[in-house]
Amino acid sequence: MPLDIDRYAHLDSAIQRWDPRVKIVSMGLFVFGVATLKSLPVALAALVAGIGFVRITGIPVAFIWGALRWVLLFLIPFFGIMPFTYPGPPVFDVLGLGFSMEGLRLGLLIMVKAVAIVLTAYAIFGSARFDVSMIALQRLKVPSIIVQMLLFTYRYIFVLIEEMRRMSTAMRVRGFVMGTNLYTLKVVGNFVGSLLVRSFERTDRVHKAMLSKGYDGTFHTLVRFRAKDTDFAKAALVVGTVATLLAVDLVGFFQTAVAGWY
Amino acid sequence: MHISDGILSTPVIAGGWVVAAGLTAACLRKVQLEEIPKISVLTAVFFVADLVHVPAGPTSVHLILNGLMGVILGIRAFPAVLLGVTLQTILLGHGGVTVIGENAVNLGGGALVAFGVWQLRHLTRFKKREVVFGALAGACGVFASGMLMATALLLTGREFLVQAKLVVAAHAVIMVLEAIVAGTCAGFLAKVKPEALAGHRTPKRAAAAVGPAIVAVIIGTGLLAPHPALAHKLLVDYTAVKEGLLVEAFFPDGTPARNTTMRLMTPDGKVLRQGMTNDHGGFLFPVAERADYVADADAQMGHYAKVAIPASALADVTLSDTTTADAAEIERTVSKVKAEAFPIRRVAIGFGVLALLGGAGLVASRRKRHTHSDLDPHTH
Repeated sequence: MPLDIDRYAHLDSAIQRWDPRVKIVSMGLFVFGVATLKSLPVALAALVAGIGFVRITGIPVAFIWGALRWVLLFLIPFFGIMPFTYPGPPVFDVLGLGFSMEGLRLGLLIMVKAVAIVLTAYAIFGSARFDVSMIALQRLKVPSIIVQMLLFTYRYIFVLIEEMRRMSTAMRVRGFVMGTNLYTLKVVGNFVGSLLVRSFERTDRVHKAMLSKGYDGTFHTLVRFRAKDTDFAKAALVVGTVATLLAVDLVGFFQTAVAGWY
Repeated sequence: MHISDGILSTPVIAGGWVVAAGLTAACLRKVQLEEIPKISVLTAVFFVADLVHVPAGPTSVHLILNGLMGVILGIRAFPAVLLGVTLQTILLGHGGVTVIGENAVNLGGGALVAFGVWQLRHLTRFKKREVVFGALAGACGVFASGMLMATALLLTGREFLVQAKLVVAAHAVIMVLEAIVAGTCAGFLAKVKPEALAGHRTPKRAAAAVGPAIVAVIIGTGLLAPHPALAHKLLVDYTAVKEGLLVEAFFPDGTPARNTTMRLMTPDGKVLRQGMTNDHGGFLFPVAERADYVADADAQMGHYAKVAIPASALADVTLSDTTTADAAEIERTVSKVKAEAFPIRRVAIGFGVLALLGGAGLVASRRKRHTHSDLDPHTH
């Protein structure tokens, strides 16, 4: 999975040139707007917009697909369960469980929205270097603790995955095979334990090195942001799009998947 | 286990955000600069845990590790979970953007419960207590998350009863796996790097007091707070049985509305029959003809609910025009239907017993303090 989300930040496009502060705020509004959509056709329109954002950034499809694979992996089981558990008039029975059309529509809606949101998130954070995005968050007055935690977490995800890969290779070399048994779970427990010990010790060294270079919890940077008129024009375009989507959704032009839920 | 967008009702979503924001602020009080890297490592672990699948029979499940977060980070686990959930939602599409608050409350609340359980270890002094309490914390963390999630679903509506039950059942399975992993991991850390565990340096008395207090407060607010909120909405449901039309009045947690006036009316409001509900909150109306009806229940103090009954629902009913059905028959029919209700009360009692045990342990440890020296044999 391509977790180094900013691998293609160096490409040049309208989104990469966008002031990160304005971009994060307006695209963030877009994400929240999409999350509250209730009808399938409008959600599909949002998905198209999400695909559009990613196309503009020029991030290769293969890279995005690596992320989407995981998203779909999480969503497909859910999508299979929803039609059977959602309380709605059953259309037909499968092994005594009623298959509800309402549930299917809701499952589809959730899936389409999730994919649209992940695509938009990749357009937001894939179009600027991660540290630049974090500095933008800091300028947007996000509490500095949160920004620092985000930055460290982002860094540690790679460290952890790398470390896990090395450790699991070592385990396999010694003949460990995963199975449904107590032994596997105990090994996993010890695995997590030694992963933590290694990470804590590394963290300690890194943190001390940072302190010795004068780290005091804030990020000092030479990056300067200057929002121009074009930046706000792009923001207006994105916010306008999501406002239109929400308006169409609320007018009730399309059947909502969640009638009577709100 | 994450809830997705578009499932919970707006008040529940808003409540989730408010509680998450409040708990984050409270749990980040007086945070030191040097704590941040450790919190971040655990946040990353929590994020990555989503990607690590452990085989479970024919399928595989991923670990949640929220209990372990509580064991290692203490109250700082909550902001870590919040951030982890945010990243999982945005980067993995797992959960939903509008429900980040609620998911953080479910999983982070579980982590806090786990921390409370973990602190209870100070009350005992046997050799493998880190393993045992780590396992207990792992199990309680997952279970509490399941319960919080079920509560959120039930607060949204009684139609999610099936999902709520499924959620608790699924968490019960994961609970066992998590308990073993968390227990082993806590035991490992206790041997290798004990200072990494939460509450390691806490003075014994403070730890002994804080643990049960956290458990009690969280369980109390988590399970008792929704109770009065739930009790304010009266619900009416009907079941067509052979003997007639069984109309039941109950509150969303499954408590029956006793001694409630219930009426069966025609759609235009003409009262056909009237009666008081029995101990099971039900009343059995004999049906004279297959027509559309409206049934309502009035439990006083503004608790009123009604339900429309279409003629098509009455296909299986034996028609009769007696005025009241036999009381014994009502009892029998009602208890048959009621047997399926969600055992939230029994679960609440279970938690209560746990909290009581914690309290008793606290009292016992207070007494011990006077007889033992300051040296704790298990910490150096």
